[in-house]
Amino acid sequence: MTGGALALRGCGIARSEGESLGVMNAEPAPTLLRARLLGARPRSEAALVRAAQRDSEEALEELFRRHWRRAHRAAFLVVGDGAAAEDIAQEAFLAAIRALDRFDRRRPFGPWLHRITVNRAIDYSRARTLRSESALFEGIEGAAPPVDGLSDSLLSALRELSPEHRAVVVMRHVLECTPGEIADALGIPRGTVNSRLRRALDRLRPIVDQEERS
Amino acid sequence: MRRDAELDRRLSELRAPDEDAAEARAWEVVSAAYADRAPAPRPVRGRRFAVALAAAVAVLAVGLSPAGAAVADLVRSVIGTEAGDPEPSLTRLPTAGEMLVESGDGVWIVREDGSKRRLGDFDEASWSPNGLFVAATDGRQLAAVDPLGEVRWAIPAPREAHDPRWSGTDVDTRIAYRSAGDLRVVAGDGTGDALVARDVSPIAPAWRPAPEAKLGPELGSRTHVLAYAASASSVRITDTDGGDVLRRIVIPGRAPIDEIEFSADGSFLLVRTGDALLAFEPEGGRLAWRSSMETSAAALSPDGRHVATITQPDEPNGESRLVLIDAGTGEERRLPAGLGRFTDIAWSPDGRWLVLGWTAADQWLFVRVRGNRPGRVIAVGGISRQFAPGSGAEASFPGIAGWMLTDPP
Repeated sequence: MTGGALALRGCGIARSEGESLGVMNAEPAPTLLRARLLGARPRSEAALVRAAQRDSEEALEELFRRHWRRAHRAAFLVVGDGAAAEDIAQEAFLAAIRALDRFDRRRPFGPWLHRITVNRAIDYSRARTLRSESALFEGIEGAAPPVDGLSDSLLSALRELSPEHRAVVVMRHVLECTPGEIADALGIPRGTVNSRLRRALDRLRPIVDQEERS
Repeated sequence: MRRDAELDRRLSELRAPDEDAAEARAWEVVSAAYADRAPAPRPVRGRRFAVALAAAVAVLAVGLSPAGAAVADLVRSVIGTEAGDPEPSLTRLPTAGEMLVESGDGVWIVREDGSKRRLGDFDEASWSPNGLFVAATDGRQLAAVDPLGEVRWAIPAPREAHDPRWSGTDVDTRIAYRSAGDLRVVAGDGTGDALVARDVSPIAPAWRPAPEAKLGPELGSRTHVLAYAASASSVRITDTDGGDVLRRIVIPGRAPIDEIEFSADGSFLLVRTGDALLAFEPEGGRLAWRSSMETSAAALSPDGRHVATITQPDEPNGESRLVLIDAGTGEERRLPAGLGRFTDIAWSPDGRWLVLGWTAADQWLFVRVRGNRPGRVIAVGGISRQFAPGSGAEASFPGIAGWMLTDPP
């Protein structure tokens, strides 16, 4: 299942063919396979965006295949709910399509998409927290937040963090954004990114250490 | 550094559940949204002028003619077929069944012989699965009422109750309703009122009609399956007994969801938005077809083979169209244009007639779409006052909440 297509580094910016896909672990997109079979070089992201703006579904599919898994995974790690993560990532792509015609091709597509995804995931997590509290307060039966797949100790530790801290960890270690890119995407000072990251990692590292030892 | 590298590795190994299937579902939705993103074609000036002229003529006719003559002219120009003067009151329905009507004066039943019975001072209502009862809401109350108007049970809703929808088998039914932002379900005997979801969109939920519906293994074994608008652009299908969310469907396009309805056999879910009708396969969430048009109402035929819908006029006195869509393929058949805004549409239980609510003319139009003399139109005037006796000119135009072949008493 490990793909050999484009690696997405630096907050989702496509680099060169043949690099490890790292966390994306995606199957190569059909269009990329065709390109390789024909000996053609994969198109740059800007070229794909331009083609997608001109009604090329093939270009859109290539953008989708390059970015979907990381967006979906990032949303899942922030909200801790598989179904909600799927909704959030889908809606992020739909928002991207709605804004496609206005998109500035000089900007990278990946960070733009991930900004939408992570901010929606944070909003969802905040709203769910508020709902849980009000349900308890009012004594109305309310289902516990779903926790699909959160059996792993690292996932459990992530769930203990606030949505804002989870988002910073996910952007840094899963989407591979720089602190500056994270600050820009979340609209917070870079110092806040670093402090959140430090506090979050202080909570997560003992889990990793403990698992390593055992 | 080593610790960070290990953390990176561990985090990179984390996976969202069901990734391959999620990706396939997402691409289906995203590609459909992309196909739909082309800007709407610019209107042709000549056509706009023609529409405006037709509208002006129609307005003139309504304003200057006696009511009866105006109606005859309008019906002729509206539906494109001959119709006599409208009947001054509803003396009988054109085929078997009973209609459920919501007026400002309460909820009513209209029998085949044209007789009407007011069930009570309710705001909204829907039939029980076999038409033996009606679920009705009245402010902060949900009630089950029999066709004679006797309230069998009533429960207070936590907040204002809306959109009651009743479904189930002969012996095990559920009523879904909205209360403020919550979606709730209560058993058919009024017990077990329970929260299903919070923060839902203000759209009536839709039950999968029958447990024996032709469905795959995922949904087919469930008895009480409900679809609702979780947000303006997403639908969830849930098993209200187990609480499992079975399917999430993101609706492509810009316009919010206006209406959702299952086909009679449960094999597809119709979603009407402000600018499109979309049919999804509930089992896999796949978009089966999409029809781009602005509509004011839609209804599935009893056999599930057709969707009838009414297009919105471009302007208040512009033209509407009655459109029949093949539910299997999405192929459209547009019937002649009408003037003004139609508010409601419902099929007769035998699927031969459609009834349209025509607010501007204060009429119901019964349009024959199958069987002998398709295209025949029966217009019935004075609808508002018939469901608000004593209100005179103040009466508001009533809504059609269903037309059903009820079980004999």
